[in-house]
Amino acid sequence: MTPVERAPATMAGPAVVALVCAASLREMIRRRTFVFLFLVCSIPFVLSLIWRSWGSEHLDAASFFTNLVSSVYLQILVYLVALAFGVPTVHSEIQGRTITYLFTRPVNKLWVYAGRLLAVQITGGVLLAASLIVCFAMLTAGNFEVVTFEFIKAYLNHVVLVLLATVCVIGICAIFGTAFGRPIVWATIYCFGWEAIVSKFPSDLRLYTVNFHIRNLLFDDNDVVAGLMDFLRDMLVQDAEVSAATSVGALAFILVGAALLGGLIFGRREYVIS
Amino acid sequence: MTAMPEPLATPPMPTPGAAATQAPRLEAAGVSRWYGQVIGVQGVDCTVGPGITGLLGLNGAGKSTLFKLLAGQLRPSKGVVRVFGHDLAKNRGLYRRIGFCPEPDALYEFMTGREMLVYLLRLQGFDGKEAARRAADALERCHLSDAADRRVAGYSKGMRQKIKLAQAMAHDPDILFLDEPFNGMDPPSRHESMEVVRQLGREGKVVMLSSHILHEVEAMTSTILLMQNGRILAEGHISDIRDLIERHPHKVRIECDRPRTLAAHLLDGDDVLGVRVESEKSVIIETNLPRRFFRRLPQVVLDQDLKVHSYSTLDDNLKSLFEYLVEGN
Repeated sequence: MTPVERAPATMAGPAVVALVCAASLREMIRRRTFVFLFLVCSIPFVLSLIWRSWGSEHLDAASFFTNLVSSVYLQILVYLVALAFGVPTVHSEIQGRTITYLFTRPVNKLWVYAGRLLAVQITGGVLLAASLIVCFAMLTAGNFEVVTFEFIKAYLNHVVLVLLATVCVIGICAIFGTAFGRPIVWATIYCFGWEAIVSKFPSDLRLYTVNFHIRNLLFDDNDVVAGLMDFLRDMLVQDAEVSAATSVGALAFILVGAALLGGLIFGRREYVIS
Repeated sequence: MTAMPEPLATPPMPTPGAAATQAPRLEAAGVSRWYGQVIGVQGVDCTVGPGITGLLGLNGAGKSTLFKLLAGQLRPSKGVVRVFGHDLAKNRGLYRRIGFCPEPDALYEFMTGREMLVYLLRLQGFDGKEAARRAADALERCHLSDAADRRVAGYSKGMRQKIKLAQAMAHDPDILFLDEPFNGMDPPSRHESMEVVRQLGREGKVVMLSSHILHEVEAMTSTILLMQNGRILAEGHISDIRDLIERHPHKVRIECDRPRTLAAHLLDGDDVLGVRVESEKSVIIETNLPRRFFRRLPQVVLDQDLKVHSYSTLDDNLKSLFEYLVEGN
């Protein structure tokens, strides 16, 4: 066998993504943050339990669930998951210095990044999806009259949007982890500054937030109990209508753009592993 | 003007008969690397051929940075690294020909040794079956077969070093960079790993091995590069380095009952450059011919009926050699 025959073919991009993703998934579920977030994601279950025990007479299941998604998932949980999993997408390998092994393989860094990102998006998505399923079970168990077509439709809409928000925000947080030395600071400012505040700003700036577009696509958003910011905003400005298609397009752009931008930074930036 | 070779996806291997006419396996031409204002490596020119080459330098000399540059983990700020005549920075396919054993103690802790090797071999492009076969082979060569299915997190320091070595050689690369591969190993593990590296050298692979311990490198190879402050200070045969060590002044402290008498008689020989009586019980001798000095010392002690309590060399050989070379330059 000649040396040329001995050399294997360069691995195809999707195969690299699948391989890195599978290895990364194994790593993620062993992290302590996974256990922590698992506990945090059980908060909606506790709230549902409280609703079942004391609040079901005052608020119907659909309205309770819409409020739960709007004020717990889309305000807190999505961002916590993104901070915990998105920021370390490649940052954990850089900090752990195992990135050396990936940098000295004949594979494109963009595929390595895509594999890592896919793994964190799956992990974050599965955590929140599991939390939403448990909530559904809690709302409907022995309470089948609430399971109407409208409720199922709204539920599925909410689940899809929570997952979409999760993968989008994880993608953006991963960029911070790729580009900055201390990414958690910038990512926190983004999540709980830009997203949480600017998305409710009475200006066109909110069009540049994930949160605004997600909320724009939520069914039955009128049922959401308005917060102080919403109240002030309603007083100050007349909402400019943004079509659902625009929001879907914006979210798709963020999803793909964040992955490409992060991969591009990862591919071009040099990390000094000492 | 000579045209630069086109980057190849899979550069052809040199055939043994044509070795003399082939491009060098590994070549650094004017390679420099700066971290802002800090110089990591400065103007390194070297050509490395088959066999083991020791890269010797004190901690912080730039050995690891040079390895990262040669292995393609870092891009040079200036200059070029060529592997089989091709620019490494422009051809990721060349990474298949390179094995890198990094110095940091970083491993995939959640995997078993076998899983880690299979994972990294799959990234080299091998299919699952071939990756498993090569992983088993590398684990056996590195004497890790028994621990292959244990999680890396539970490995001892020596085993961790061995698994790093195994991943560097598992894909049968032509060029290996081993950055301080024996650090922290117990003597049996060190002996086993040294034999593995020697075998790689005997197979005709380009093996570059870094260390800050002279005798460790000396046990592996006679060809060395000396590095200091990011520069290659000297290169050649280890015996030349030994001669340099022999020629440069050594300081020896001797504790005895009559240091002044000892000093006076030692000064009679041309192997002593100077003496300094340190106290009423010790004297420091400076010699540029240590072998001759140590042969003469017992005779002087016997002739003068001195009671010597202890003697010790004050220089760490390698460190003092570097200082000597820097002064000489």
